[in-house]
Amino acid sequence: MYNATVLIADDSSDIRTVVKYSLIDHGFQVIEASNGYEAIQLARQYRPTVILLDLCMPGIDGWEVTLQLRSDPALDEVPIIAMTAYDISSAIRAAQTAGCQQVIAKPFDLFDIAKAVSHFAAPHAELIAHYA
Amino acid sequence: MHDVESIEALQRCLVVYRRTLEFLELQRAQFGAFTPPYIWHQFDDTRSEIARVKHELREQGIEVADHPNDTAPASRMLAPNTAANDNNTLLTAYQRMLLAQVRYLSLAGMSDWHDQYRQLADLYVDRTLTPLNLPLGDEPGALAALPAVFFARSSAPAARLLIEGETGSGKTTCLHALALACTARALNVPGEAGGLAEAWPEPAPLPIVLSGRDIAAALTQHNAAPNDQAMPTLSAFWSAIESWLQYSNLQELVPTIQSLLEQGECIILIDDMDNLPPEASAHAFMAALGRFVARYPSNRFVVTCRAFQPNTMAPLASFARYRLAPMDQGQISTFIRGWYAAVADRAGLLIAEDVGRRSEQLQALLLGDTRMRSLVRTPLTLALCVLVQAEGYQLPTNRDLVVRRMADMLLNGQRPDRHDSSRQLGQVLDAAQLSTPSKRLALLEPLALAFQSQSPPNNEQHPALRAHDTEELLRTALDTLQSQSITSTDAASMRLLEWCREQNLLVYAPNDTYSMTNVPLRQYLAGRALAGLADFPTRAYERRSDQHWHETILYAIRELERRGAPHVARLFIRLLLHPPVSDQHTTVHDTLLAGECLLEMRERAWPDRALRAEVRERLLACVGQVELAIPERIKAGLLLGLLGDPRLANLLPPLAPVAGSIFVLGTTEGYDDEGPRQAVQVPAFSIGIYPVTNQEYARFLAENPQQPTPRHWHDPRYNNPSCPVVSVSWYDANAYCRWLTNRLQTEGILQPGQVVRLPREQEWEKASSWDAANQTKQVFPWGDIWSSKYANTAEDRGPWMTSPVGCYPESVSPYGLYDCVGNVWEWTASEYISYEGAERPFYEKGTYVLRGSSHATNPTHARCTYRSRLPPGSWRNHLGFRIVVVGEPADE
Repeated sequence: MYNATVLIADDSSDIRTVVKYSLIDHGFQVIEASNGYEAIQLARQYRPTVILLDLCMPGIDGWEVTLQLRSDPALDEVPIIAMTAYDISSAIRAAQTAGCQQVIAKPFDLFDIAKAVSHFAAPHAELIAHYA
Repeated sequence: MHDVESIEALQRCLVVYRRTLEFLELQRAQFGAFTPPYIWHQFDDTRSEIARVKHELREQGIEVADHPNDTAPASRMLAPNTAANDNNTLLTAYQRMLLAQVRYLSLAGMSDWHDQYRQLADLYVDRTLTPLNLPLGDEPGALAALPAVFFARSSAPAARLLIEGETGSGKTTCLHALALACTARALNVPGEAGGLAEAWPEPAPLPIVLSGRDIAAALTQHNAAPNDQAMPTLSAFWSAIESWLQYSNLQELVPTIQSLLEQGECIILIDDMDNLPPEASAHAFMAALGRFVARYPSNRFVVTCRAFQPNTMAPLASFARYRLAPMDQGQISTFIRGWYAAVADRAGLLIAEDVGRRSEQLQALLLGDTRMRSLVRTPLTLALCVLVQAEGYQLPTNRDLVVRRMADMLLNGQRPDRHDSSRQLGQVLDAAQLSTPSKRLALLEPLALAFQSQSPPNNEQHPALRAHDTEELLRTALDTLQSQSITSTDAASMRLLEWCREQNLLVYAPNDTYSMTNVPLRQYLAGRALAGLADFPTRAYERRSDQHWHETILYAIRELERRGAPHVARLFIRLLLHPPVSDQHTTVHDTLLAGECLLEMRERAWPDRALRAEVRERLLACVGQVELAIPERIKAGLLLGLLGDPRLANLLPPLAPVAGSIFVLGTTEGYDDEGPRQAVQVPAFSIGIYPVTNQEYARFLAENPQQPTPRHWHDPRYNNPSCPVVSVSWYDANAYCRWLTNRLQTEGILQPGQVVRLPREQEWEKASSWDAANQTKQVFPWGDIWSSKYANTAEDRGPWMTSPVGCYPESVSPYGLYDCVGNVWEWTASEYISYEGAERPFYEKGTYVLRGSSHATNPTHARCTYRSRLPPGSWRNHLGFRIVVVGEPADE
């Protein structure tokens, strides 16, 4: 059981729902954003433990969201996992330059998502267990 | 509780004992098979001492890492050669000899230290190879050249590699690393070769290390011998191998090696193939090599040379050619860390943190300083930088030392890692007058100056001189030396030219011109020549605006200072400040150059206070000059910081008074937490017009030794005295304010009742955005329209770095504050809490608001109302603070 909040930002409500219930099953709390602006707004408000970010969104896209989040000291250390259907090698480079920790190719395996999220949330969970 | 002192003493002991072991190992290597027993006894004694110290440390609960040297290797005793009749024993002896030869890297000529050997495995960095030609049937995927390619290729049977690289690019080190990997693998001592040995698949081939000169010498000898008619060129190779073995008393091994060669179980490493003595014929040499390769085709060959010459090196057409690529950022980091760790104890750095800090400092310096980056193109110069810094010289101020050592090494023709690869300049010219290094440099100085005086065709190419002129200049230089022992200047100058080409100091181009491709060397020698001219100030003044001459002039200034003639340099600086033609104005470029020159002259040449004050005054004017380009203003600010910023000279920093009044807090156009917009009453206060700078923070640190230094305090990218202090926590900022309050009250500058503290959010926002005259609120300090030219943000700037305070004069707020938006985030005294009347109230207890955005911030966040927040213990390389002074003076 993790006491960690995950922000899912994706313009497809199907993907959000699928990922959300998978992560809830793994014991995460989940908040959802359907576009880039909302993602920044919610990230500033809740400071989630991990952010799952679709790189291709209408309006402010994932790269821009990453740049903006990385600009704010309050959020510059929150791990960002990017999801993308772009050609993976170039997307990885671009996303990592912007400041993403990990890039997952679409279509993805839900298990991979949960694993990646747990990986970044784990230190947090350990800390909570330590101070509990 | 541990006894800290005794633990430290024990750790020091351990370092010293391990160092003793290395020294013994070195002696043992020199004695080879004839190591006297007393050395073995010393080995035993030292090892038992190490075991004792480790035991004691572990008793105290301290973790001690084991070192492979700490315990004796299983089979350390070599059978004496006379008793060895078994081939395997001999082979092992051979491999041990080889191991002893290649496992150390000599620092001779690179450093002033006397103990000049370091383990190669500690220093070796995997290098990238760029393929130049790929033989037929090779997969194109090999284009991505990696060290793995290197090992995979050269470990494949019958691999033939030709590695090209300029002087000092690490060719020999690569060959030695290969030999080390093979022998360490064969002797099963993986610890000796670091990670290299693991890369080698079983079974490792037997390395034979030769240099081009060895073979050429044997070749010449053979051609002279009248009765050797059978296969002279092939046997020349053999006699080179034989004489090498003979030198080590292992000539009985020749038949074994021959049979191994027949079976294709050797790797032949030939170093420096195009560095042959003049009497040798390159064609004969290449033919011999070609025949040798054809005779033993199933062996592996790795050959190094400076540059492939198609006409003479035709027999090597079957070789896969690679070029040693310049080191990338990661390799440079590994290199610096490795070298620092290896020389740390010699440099008196026994504590691991000190080593880490120094190596980080150098890495940051290389990232931030373009001059240093252009200097460290090769591993040789990078190693020199590490050594110069480890010896305690400041960089980049002492970068001339790095070039000087490089020049000495090149002109001596003596490389540290070779036994006798090249002739010395003195031998070439047979002149006793060239005994001092300075005289050798003087020989090439006029030539370098002449090259420097030729304007380069474009930025990529090097300035060139006609061959005839080059010869003439060399002849004149020789004449000037007026040496009696050089009988014929003409012949001597030809020999000198030949030698320069051999050493790659001069590069001949087909259009009958010469050029000097080693740019730092050319600039340095030209600088020395320039400094020696009687009319230096005017000569330098004529060339001051030529970017091509910039570094040369600075080297000349440094040289003048070293020669004890700073007054000449000062004449030049005065000339820059007061141009001889009266209608001519001093340009910004001249002012900046004057500042740089003054910096080159270091502390002890600074007593001319008037000159220094004048330069600072001019620089200060540049910082505030809106018409100048941003990089020029920043450069002026950085120079000003290094020369002593007069703006920050007082204990009380410049303050802007803000009268108590109502102002409009927040905005409706930002994120939720920036609103709602409302009128707020703020009492009067005074606020620092600049963020607190490193120069001011240094005073605080000096008076409070218990205060930890900020994380980036020693990072040259952030620690200019005029730049804002960064990487301070909220607690540090408050401690600074408390200290400043006390100091100012003691000095009587503040009255009792007045205090210095961090600004509250409302205070910060009012001082940065409120226009009291028009009673309006502005989005940015300068108005409502964004411009990336007004603030140091992540937009439009290459490397993210802080800028000296006040470098963006357009961004001044109506109250007179600089750097409110951009440069560094600033801590405030307020916790992160929603404004009154917020739709969604919140309160994050224990996190404090940051304002103002930074050099790492996207412009989307760069506005006066934006609120970020962090827990008070956090620090960032873009986070600082400014102060406010509040409170009425208490009535008497």
